[in-house]
Amino acid sequence: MEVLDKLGPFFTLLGATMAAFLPGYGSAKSVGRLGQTINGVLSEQPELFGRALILQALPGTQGIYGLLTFFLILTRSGLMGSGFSANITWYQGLLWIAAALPITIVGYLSAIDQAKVCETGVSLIAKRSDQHARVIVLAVVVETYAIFALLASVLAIFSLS
Amino acid sequence: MDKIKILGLRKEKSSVLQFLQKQGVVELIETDISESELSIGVEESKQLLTLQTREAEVSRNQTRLNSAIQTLETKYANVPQESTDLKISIDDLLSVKERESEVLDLLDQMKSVEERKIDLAAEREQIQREQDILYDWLKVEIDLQQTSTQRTLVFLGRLEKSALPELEQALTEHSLAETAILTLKSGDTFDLTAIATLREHELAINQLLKQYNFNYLPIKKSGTPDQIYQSNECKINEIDETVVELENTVKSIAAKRLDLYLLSDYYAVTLEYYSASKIPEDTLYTFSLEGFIPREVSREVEKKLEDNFTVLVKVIELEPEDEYPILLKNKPFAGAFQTILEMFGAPSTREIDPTPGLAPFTFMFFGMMLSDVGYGLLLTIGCAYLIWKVKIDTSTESGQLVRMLFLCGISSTLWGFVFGGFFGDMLTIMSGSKITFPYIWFNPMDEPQKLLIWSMIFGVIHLFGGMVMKIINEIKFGKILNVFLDIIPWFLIIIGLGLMLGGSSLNISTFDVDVIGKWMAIVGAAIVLLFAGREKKNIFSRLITGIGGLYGVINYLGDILSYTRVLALVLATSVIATVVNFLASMVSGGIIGWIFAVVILIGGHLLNLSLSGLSAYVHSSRLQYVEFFGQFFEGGGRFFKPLKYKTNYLKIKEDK
Repeated sequence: MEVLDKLGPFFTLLGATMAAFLPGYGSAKSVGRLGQTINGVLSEQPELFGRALILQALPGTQGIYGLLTFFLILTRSGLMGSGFSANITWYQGLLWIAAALPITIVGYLSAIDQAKVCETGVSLIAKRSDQHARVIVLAVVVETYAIFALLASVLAIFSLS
Repeated sequence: MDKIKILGLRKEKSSVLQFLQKQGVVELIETDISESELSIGVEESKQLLTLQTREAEVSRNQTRLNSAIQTLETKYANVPQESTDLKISIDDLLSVKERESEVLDLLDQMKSVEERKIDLAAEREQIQREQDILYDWLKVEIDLQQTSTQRTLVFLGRLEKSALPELEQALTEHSLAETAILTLKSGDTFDLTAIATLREHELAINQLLKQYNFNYLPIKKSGTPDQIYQSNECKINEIDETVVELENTVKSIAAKRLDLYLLSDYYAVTLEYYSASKIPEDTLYTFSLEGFIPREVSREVEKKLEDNFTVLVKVIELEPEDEYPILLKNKPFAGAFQTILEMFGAPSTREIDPTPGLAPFTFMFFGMMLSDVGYGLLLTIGCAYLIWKVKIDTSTESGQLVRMLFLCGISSTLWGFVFGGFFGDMLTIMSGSKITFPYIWFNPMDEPQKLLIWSMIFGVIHLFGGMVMKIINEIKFGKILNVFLDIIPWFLIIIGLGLMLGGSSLNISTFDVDVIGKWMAIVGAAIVLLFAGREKKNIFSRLITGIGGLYGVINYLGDILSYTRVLALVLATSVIATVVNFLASMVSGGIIGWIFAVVILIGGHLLNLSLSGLSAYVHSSRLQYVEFFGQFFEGGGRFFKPLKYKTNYLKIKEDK
């Protein structure tokens, strides 16, 4: 168990970095795919750039939520500041991982699903640019669950510290 | 909204239409006169045909104008304009017609200039290519054209140095010995050669030369390479000079682009007028028009029409049951949030305008979500600059958005004081925990659970607001019974359940809050159970509908939970701000360190402002659309679109 005891900070960092990289990757993937679609639309209708950019930014938020969780875990667990000498048991470390799980998983998946809504939304505004607001609302309905997951993670982090 | 019917003399039709367009308050509709009543004679159909021809011409010219304007705006944007006043009076706009051909000439001129430029560029490229080849041939003193005689032929070209001996050998092998290879000029890896031979060997030599990669000189002009090079040089200079001249011509057109704007907008207005005058309710001597007009101006327009023209005007007051377009009218504060409703869609003619309801809540929720004094002030100042300094047109979509964000910025500032945020925790971190920005209520980063509860309480208030709107609607529809059986019970259930859950924290000792809450919930639930299915005759199906009605509690629960996003967004804003401050404090120290810190602070906080601002806008709108509108909004109307002067580039001055 001696080795296990030393793994506390590692587990904590693992939980934090997972929250940063999975939703971040999901966002990057979504934003990238959307960018491709938007480029296609812009070749015909360059005036839609502003509207399309907002749609592209929407699935980018999950990456931010992940980064936010990463930062909260680092500060709240005491890893930031004490570094290698952080006093975290392996059991606490696992709890930090558990706290990070909601945003890690839902953040990643919801970014991709939201991008699908945005992608069809882009082709909708290419035909009817007045429908822009509705497209945003439809995409935001997906994001709701990323926000709930973030909330679950954040509340877990606050109750652990 | 009223309906206006106008009957007048045909010869006055166009002036009446122009008058209406100038007023800009009437939306014309096609009346349902049957075909037989219309008597379009030869003369009329001729007129209609001219109208259509003219319309096609105008729209063609407009397309040309707009693409020219686009070219000028992209390529010559920094050419100073002769006049920069983008505000014009209606008379100015209409008077451009007299100069129409003059402006269109500019367009033709620009087109021919552009074409000429393309031709010249192609020619220059051709000559330049020749120059590149000729450069190697300079100082070779032969006339490039006069190289052959009656019996002999000379090929000029480049030959690889290594290929020369092989070629000589091949010539002897093929018994073409009467061929001379002259090296005119020696290069590094190749020679410039002249190969002279008899005419009858032409075919064989050509084949051989191809085999040894002989590179024929493609220029067949008379004169020595030096002479040709010189004259080409002159030609290039000439072309360059011409291009500069042409550029100046375009620049002089670019300086006059206001005229192009003017004509383009004149065309836009004219096209609008044409589409209105095509509604063909004409008889031989009279015309009739029908349209919608806002009630407050209908009498005035009626009087003006009757004074100025020989027309018969009838104004019919419309009832909510009639279908008519929606024109929203709100006080300045609520009006600023009208854009949120306009994006969603028009309410039906019967129901209440939801704008006064959604305005204070959007104001509140946007402010809560951004809740930062620094960000709020930046947003407010930025929007104020756009409104009062740049004088952005607040009647456009983006102008309305700016007006709304101005108010939202104020709200964010206020909430920033409430929660104690100034660019996140910038003061704390940068001062080394010596100063902390004070909060009025509490700091959500320290007490997230408290904000969680409060955001749901604000959510309940928002939902109740929606239910009050529903009550107003039901009263408008004359269905008072629905108010007591469908809406009031839910007030009882939600408040009752709320008291049961959180009543003990209110610390009221005089009476038992839990019990009151319990009974409120029970009474509410009983009403829903018994009356939700009151249309059903059968007692069992009525009860089953009642149970289904009670399932609505899940919907309300979902709606209320949805407001927890407020907490998440508050935390998102402040945590990202904290990250920015943290990064800046890590690099700070020393002059270079502080420069980096300031760059990180400015860039990071601007990024956070735009991302969090977008989130706050999008999510506060969503709370309106899904949760608030879900309580009462029927929708299905359409917005009022009067015939008026719609311009794209210029702004029309109101004439007093």
